[in-house]
Amino acid sequence: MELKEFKLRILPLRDKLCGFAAKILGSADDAEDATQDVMMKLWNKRHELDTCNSVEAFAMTMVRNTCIDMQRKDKGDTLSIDDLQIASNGSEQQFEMHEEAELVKQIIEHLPELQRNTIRMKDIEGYENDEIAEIIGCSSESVRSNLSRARKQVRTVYLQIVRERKRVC
Amino acid sequence: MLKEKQARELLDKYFEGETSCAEEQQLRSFFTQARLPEDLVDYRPIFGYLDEESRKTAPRKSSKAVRIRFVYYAVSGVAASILILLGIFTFNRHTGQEMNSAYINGEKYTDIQIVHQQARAALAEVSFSQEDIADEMLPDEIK
Repeated sequence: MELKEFKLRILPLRDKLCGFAAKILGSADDAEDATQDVMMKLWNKRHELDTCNSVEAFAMTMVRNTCIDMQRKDKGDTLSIDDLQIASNGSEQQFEMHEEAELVKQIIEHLPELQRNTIRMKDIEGYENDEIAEIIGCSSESVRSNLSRARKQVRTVYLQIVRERKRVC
Repeated sequence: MLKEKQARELLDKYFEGETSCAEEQQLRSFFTQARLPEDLVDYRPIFGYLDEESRKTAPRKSSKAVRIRFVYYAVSGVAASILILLGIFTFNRHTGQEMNSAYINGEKYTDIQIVHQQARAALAEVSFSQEDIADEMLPDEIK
């Protein structure tokens, strides 16, 4: 399934998915985040969707799971540094490049799902903001703002850990 | 390569989520250089990681520009083949000799069947259905 078909078959489901998310989460803002996240996941699975009996049922299940994850992570907007101790308790005095890259990776993995997926699409898969907006059915301003939040969060946590390490050494 | 001042501006834009993919590429190459201003050194692994990850990820699609160029090549290829074939046949008619021949991949063929067959195969290889062409030429918004 490519963009044309995705827009025809998946985007029309968006309102329904968002309504379902709002029912579970009880907040329109959170529901919008969940829906954007689900749209990205559906895009990533676009090749499997062709073999799906009911794309709608599949998408609704995805919304439910995403919402449950969001609730479990208590909205997950804050990233605790403790989560990242595995990466930062290296005993070596010198932190090598791959170790730092591993830290960046972990920080990205600990981002709230929507932010993580937005970074993945822009920074790794190379989609432009407009393209992401088109796929997930929101404004490119909203993509920009998610992306900005995600990147700033990575920067803050990363610099904090690295500078702390330097002080210790 | 970006100058430091431009790189700093782009870096600010990057964190506002305002850079294009091309600008991000420039930033990545900036951060791979050996000597970086001290306050920027810490950013190196961030861009290093993203660069490495994106290399591992297969390119998502061939860019539209490349596809359009391919259509132009194909169309001009077809036009050129037709001109050559016409040229050969008119030339032969004018000389009035029973010497119909065509050169296929550098070899001379006089068997009209083979020539037709090869010409058709060559045309089929570069042909497009109407839908293909509409697909390539129309801007995305219209699709």
